Amino acid sequence: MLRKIIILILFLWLLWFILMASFNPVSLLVGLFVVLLVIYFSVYFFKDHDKDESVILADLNFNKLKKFFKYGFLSLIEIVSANIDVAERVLDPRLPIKPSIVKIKVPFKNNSFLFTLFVNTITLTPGTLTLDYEGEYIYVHFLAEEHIESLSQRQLDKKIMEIFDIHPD
Amino acid sequence: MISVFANSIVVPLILVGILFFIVGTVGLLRFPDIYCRIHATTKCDTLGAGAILLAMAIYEHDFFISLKLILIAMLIFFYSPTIGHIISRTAMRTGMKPWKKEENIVYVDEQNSQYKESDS
Repeated sequence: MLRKIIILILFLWLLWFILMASFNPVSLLVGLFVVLLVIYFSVYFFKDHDKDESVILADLNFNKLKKFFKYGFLSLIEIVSANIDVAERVLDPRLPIKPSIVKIKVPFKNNSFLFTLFVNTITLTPGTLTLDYEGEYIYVHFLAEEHIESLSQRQLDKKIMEIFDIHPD
Repeated sequence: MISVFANSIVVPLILVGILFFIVGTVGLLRFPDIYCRIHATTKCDTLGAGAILLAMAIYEHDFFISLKLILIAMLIFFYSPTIGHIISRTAMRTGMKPWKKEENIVYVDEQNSQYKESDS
């Protein structure tokens, strides 16, 4: 717990230097003050996550950084294909859309971090938008009928499980 | 020589960004209801803003400024789906009806008025 907070302080302080781009002592002290204020307000959120083995940005190491880059690459591919798909539909004069709302079960029930990550990735895949959640179910809005099949073909949950090395419960 | 190489990456990236911003705005105007409009704006604005910010980061000579621009691009990649989700969830909870394709087929037939009678 304490180790996580210290790593987070150093990480945020580094971020402050990148944003300020100056190294005089006044900015150094103001930066430390702001970072401690941010930690004071956000330490409440870490207490819940301390129990389960969730992936938090605070305990960074090389292996987790590699996982985040893998996930970033996966979502980048999804974003580009989603954009091309939406652009085709918008510029088509017939406007080939047939919206529908489907209830989907999410495998990451106990891990709120991966739940959020999975839901955000669904929003970035072609023709899908997460509307609401209810326990372990989410409501997804599909732009056309073929997107329902393509979402299950992509197997995003399995890919995220592989990247973060978590087995289904 | 270096500036020619950099510009040959920067100019296509900015053009791609402008193209996707235009597509997102056209989608905002053409799509029928709030959920479809969120589809157009979240996706196209994410890639459009990302491409333009990346082009600016390559074009800028100051290292810290380009690092800042890349941080802003990463922030957009995180918050764009989140805000789209918040807007659509609010729309769903306040009872916004999703648009259906079948309801919007309008049978305009002046000679045979049987369609109008069966419709009502």
